[in-house]
Amino acid sequence: MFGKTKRVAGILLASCMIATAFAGCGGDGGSTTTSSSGGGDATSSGGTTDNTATAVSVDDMLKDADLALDTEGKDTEVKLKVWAPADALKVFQAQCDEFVKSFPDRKIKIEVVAQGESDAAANVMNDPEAAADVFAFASDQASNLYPNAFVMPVREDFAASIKADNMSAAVDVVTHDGNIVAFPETGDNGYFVYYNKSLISADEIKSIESIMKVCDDKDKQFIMNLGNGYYGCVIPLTAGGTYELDAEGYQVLNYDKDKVVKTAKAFADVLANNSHFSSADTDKVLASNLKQGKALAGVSGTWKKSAIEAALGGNFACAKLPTIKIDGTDTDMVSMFGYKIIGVNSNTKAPYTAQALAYYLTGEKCQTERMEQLGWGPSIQKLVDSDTVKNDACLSAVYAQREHSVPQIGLAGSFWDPTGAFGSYVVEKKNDLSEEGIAKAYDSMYNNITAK
Amino acid sequence: MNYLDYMQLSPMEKCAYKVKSFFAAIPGALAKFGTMLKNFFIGLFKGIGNFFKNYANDFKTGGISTKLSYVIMGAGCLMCGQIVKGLIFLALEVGFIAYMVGFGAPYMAKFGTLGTVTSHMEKVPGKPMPVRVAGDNSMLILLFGTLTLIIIVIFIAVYILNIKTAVKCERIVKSGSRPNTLKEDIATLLDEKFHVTLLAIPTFLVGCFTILPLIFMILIAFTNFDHDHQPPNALFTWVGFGNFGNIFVSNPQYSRTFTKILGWTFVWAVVATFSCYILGVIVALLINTKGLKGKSIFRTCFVLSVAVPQFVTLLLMAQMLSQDGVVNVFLQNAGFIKEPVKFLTDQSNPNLARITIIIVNIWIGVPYTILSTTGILLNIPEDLYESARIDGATPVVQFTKITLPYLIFVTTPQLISTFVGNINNFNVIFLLSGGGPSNVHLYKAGETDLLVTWLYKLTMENNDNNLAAAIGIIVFIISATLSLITFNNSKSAKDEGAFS
Amino acid sequence: MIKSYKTRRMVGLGVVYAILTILSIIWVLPLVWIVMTSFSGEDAAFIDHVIPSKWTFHNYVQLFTDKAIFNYPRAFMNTLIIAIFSCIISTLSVLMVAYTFSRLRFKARKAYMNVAMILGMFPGFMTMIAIYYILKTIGLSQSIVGLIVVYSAGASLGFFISKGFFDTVPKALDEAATIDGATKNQIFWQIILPMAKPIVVYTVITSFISPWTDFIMARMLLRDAIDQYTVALVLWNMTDKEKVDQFFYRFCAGSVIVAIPITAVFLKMQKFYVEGITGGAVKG
Repeated sequence: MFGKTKRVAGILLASCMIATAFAGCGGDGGSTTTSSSGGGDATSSGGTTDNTATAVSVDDMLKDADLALDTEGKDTEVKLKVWAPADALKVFQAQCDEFVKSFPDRKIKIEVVAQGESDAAANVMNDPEAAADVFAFASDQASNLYPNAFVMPVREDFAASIKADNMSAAVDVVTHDGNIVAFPETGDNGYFVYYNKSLISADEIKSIESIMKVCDDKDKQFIMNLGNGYYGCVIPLTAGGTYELDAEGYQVLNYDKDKVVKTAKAFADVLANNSHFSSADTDKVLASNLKQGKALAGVSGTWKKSAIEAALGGNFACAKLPTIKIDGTDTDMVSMFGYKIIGVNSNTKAPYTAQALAYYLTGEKCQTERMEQLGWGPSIQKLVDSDTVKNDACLSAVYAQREHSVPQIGLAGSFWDPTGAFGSYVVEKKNDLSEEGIAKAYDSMYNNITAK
Repeated sequence: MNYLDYMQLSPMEKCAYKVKSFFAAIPGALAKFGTMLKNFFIGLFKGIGNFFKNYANDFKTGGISTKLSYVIMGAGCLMCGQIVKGLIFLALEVGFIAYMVGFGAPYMAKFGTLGTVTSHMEKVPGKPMPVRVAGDNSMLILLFGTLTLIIIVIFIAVYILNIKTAVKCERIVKSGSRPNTLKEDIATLLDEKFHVTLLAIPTFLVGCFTILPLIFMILIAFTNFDHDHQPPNALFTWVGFGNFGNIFVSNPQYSRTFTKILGWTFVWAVVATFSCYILGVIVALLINTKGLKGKSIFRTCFVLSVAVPQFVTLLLMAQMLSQDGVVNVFLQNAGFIKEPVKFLTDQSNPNLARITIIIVNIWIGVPYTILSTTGILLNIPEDLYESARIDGATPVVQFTKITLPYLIFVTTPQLISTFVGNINNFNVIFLLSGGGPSNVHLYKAGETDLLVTWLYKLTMENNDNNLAAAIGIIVFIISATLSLITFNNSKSAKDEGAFS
Repeated sequence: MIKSYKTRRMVGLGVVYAILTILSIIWVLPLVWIVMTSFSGEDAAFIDHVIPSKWTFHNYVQLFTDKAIFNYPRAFMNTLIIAIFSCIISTLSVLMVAYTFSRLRFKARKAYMNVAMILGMFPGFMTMIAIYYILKTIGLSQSIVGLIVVYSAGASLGFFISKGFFDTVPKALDEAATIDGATKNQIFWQIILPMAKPIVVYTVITSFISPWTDFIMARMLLRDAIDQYTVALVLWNMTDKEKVDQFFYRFCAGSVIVAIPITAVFLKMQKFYVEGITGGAVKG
C-alpha cells in the first residue's frame, strides 16, 4: 500500500502522527513510518506500547510494522495458515494478500485453506499444532474453545478498539472471564424468513396467522424446522426465556414454565393442525421447495442466501420472523442469534502476525468487502447502521430479527436435542396438545437439558 | 460327539446342542486364554532366568572375543572375520546409545508423571502480548516413552543375539573351521532363514503402525486424557482403572450409555448376522433351483451390490431414506402415507431406525452370503435330499432339516467371524444413521450407536480418548473371547495342529 | 402321477422365477436410481417425483470442471495413486507372510500367528490417533504417502485367507523342488506364486478396492489437506447437510464414476473372489 502510492505518504505520515498522538502511544510517529517503509528499530516501539489499554485502530496498526508484528518476519519468513469457508476462500485470500502488502519490509506468507466454520473448533482441538493459525468459527463453539485456552487472548490495545467498535452482543460472545479472547467477524448468524413475493405480500408475511391463511388459500407450504433445537428454541425464547452455563458447565434455563406452555400452545394452535405447515429440514429442502413452488416461505439463515436467491430470482424477499398471537396480543418471535468469530490459535508460532492478521480481517475494511462481495453481515456497529445493510433485503431482515434475539452463547451440548424434541411435539397433531400435555413435554425437556 | 451322532439329532436338539456347546466353551476359552497368558509369562521369566544364567556362564567360559562382545557389540564377529556383520552390530549399539541420550531418556524420565510443566502464557515487560511458554506434552511423552520402551526391548534382543553370535563364532573358530562369510549369510536368508527375510518388512511395518499405536492406546485407557486434558495446552496423567470404574459403575451417565449400547450392539450383531445368513441361503437355494434358466443373470443382479463400493451404497441409502428422500416421495406419491416417515431420525420411535438399518444391512449382506455359500450348497450330498423326498418331505422340511443344519455345521467359524465383524460394523451405522436418532439420556451417543461408533464419536468429536480406549479394550475382550472359542472349535484349528 | 409331478414342478419353478425377479429388482433398483439421478437435469435437489423430468450430462461435466469447492478429478487421481501403490505393497506383503506361515517352519511361528490373530481383534480405528502422531513425527501426516504407508502396513495381518489357500497347494511340489536343489526363495517365486493365481487376484482386488472405500482413516490423517483428499472423502463431504442440496446430483455422478471401474473389475474377477472368501472360510 505504501510502496504503491508515494503521493499519499505524506498524508499518511501526518494522519499517523495525529492518530498515535491521540492514542498516546508515545511520540515516535516518525520512527513508525520509517520502520514501515524499511528498517526501523524494534526497541523504541517496545517502549511505546507499555500503556496497553489504549485502543489501536486497524489503520494505525497497519502503518506501524513494529507495533503490529514486533520482530516477526524481519529475519525469517513468517508462514501463516488461515481457515475460511470454501465459498469465501477467494475473498479471504485477496484480503490476506492485501495484509501482506501492507508490510513490504516483512517476509510474510499466508495460505488460506478451506475449512467449514462448523468443523474448525473440533479440528483445532484435535491437533492444535497442525491447525490453522487464524481460523473462523461459529459462536456456539466458543464454550469448547475458550476454557482450555485453544484461542489466544487478544492483545489489550486491539481489544479496546474491538470493544468500542462492535455491537455489544458481538463483544459478549468473544469475552471469556472478562477478557476479549477472539475477534468478532460477522453479526449475521441468525435465521429469518425467506419468501416468494409473488405469492405473499410484505404485509402478510408479518404474522404467522396471516402466513398460514395465505398458505391455505394458495395451497402452499410454510417451512420451519421446529424439530431442530436451533429453530425449536424460538418457542421458549419467545416466552422470554434465556439460558446460561453454571460454573461446572451445566445448562441453566431461566424459563417461566407457564409462559412457555402458553406460548407453545399458541404455536400448536396455529401450526399443528395445519397441513400446510412443514417442519422439514429447511436447510436442506427450502431452496428446492421454493423453486418448485411447493412452498411460499420458510425460515433459514444467511448461509442459504445464494441458493434461495438463485431459486427465486426476481421473487426473492426476506423478512424478520413473524409475530404470533399470544393471549390476543401480537408477540414478536424471539430467535437465537449467533456470530462468526475469528480466533488466533494459541499454539501459533507467530502470535504477533497472527493477531494482527485476525484484527485486520475483522476490521472495517474487510467486513465491508465481505458484506459487498459475499453478503455477510458485519459486526461493527457503524457498518450495521450503514445504507448497504438497509438496502440489502437479506441483511436488513437479519438485523431486524437481531433486535428480537438471544445471543448464542452459554449453551451446553444437552440443550439442542430436548429443545428440538419439544418443538416437534408442539406441532404434531397426534400429540396431546392440551396445556397439561404440553406442560408434561415441557417438564421432560427441562429435566433432560438440566440433568447432571 | 462326532458328526454322525450330531446328524441324528432332531433340529431342535441340534440347535440346543450348538447353543449349549457354545456357552460351555466360554469358560474353557477363558481358561485357555488364561493358560496362554500364564505360559507366556512363565516362558518369559524362564527365558530371562536362563539368559542371566547363560550370560554369566558364557562370560566365564568365553574367550577374549566373547568377553569383548559384552561391552562392544559386534566385537566377536569382527575378530572372527565377519566384518560387515560385526559393523552392523556396532552401528546398532552406537545408534542405540545416541538415541537414548539424545531422544529417549528425556521422555523416559517423565514417563511416570506424563509431564509436570503446563504450557502457559507469560507476560513480557514492555511488550503488548504475553509469550507462550511451551510446557510438557503428555501425549508425546507417552508416545515416545512407549516407543523408547519398545526400542529398549528390541535392543536387549539384539544384544543377546550379539553374545550368542560371538559364542558361536568363537566355537567355530576353535574347532578349526571358518565362520560363514557375508555371501553365505545372505544365501541362508534366501533359504533356511527365508522366513526372516519374508517377515522382516511386514513385521517392521506392523510394529510401527499397529503394535506401537496399540500399546499407546491401551496405556491411554489408564490416563485422564479427555476433553479437559488436551495436550499441548493441558497435561494428563495416570488414573489407573478409573475409566473402567466410570464406565461400569461410578459415573451413572457413562454406565447407562455403556449398558444401553452394549445391549444394542449384541442385538444388532445377532440379528444382522442371522438375517443376512438365512435369507442369503434361501436366495442362493432359489438361484440353484434345478431347471432354472438365467441363473447367472440373477446372480449378477445380486452381486452388483457387492461390487459397488459399500460407502457409496450406504450414503445413497441414507439420502434415499431421509425425510425428503426418494423413498418418502415415492410412498407419498403412491398414496401409502401422507406425512413423510422419519426412517432414521424418529426420536419418538427409535426402533424404526433400528429396523430400517437392519433391512438395509440385509440388502448389503445377502449377496455376500450368496457368494460364499453357493459352493457349499452344491457340495451337500444329493442322496440326502433323495431319501427325504422319498419320505415325502416338503421343500421347507428339507431346508430346515438338511440344508440349514449342514450349512451351519460347515460354516460355524465363518458365522462367528461375521458376528464379530458385525460387532465392529462401523460403516453401516455411521454412514446410514450416524448413530441417530439422538437420545438425550446418553453420553455423546444415539439410539443406534454401536460400541465402535461410540468409540469413534468419543475420540473424533469429543476428544475423550481415555474413555474411547477403555471401550476399545472392552470390545477387544468380547471379540477375542468369541474368536478364541471359534478358533478352538473349528476344524481348521485341529487341522493346523495335525499339519504342523 | 408323473404329469402332476411335472406340473407341480412347473408351478414351483414359476414361483421361484417370480420371487427371484422381484428380489432382483429390489436389489438392482437403488443402483438404477443412482445412475438415473446422476443424469438428472432438475434444478432442485429434492423433488416431488421419482423419475427426473429433465435429463442432462451436465452433472458429470461439472464434476470435472467446477473444482472450486470439491476437486473431484484431483481426488480421483490421488485415490488411484494410493490404490496402485498400496495394492502392490499389500499384495506382496500378504503373500509373503502367508507363504511363510504356510510353508516355512521356525521356532516362533505359532507365537507369531497368535499375536497376529490377537492384533486383528482390536477395533482398527482405536489406534488412529496414535498413528496420526507417529506419521506426524516422521513428517507424513496430511499426505497421500502417509495413507499409502498406513493402508499397506496393516495389510499383512490379513494373511489368514491366503494362508488357507497356500495350505491346499500340495507340499509334494515343494519337496520335489527342494530335491532338485531349489532354494526356498525360488520355490516361493517360481512354484507357489504361479499356482496361487486365484488368491493373488483376490488379494489384489481387495487391496485395490479398500482405498476407494475407506474414508475414516483418510479423514483422520488428511484433515485440512484438501488437495490430498481421496474420492471417498470428497463424496462423503458432498452429502454434508449444508452442501447436499447443491451437490447431490454431482454426488450421484461421482459415485457412478467410482463404481463403474470397481464393478467391472469385480464382475470379471468374481470367480477368484468367491474362491478367495470360500477358500478362506472353509480352510481357515
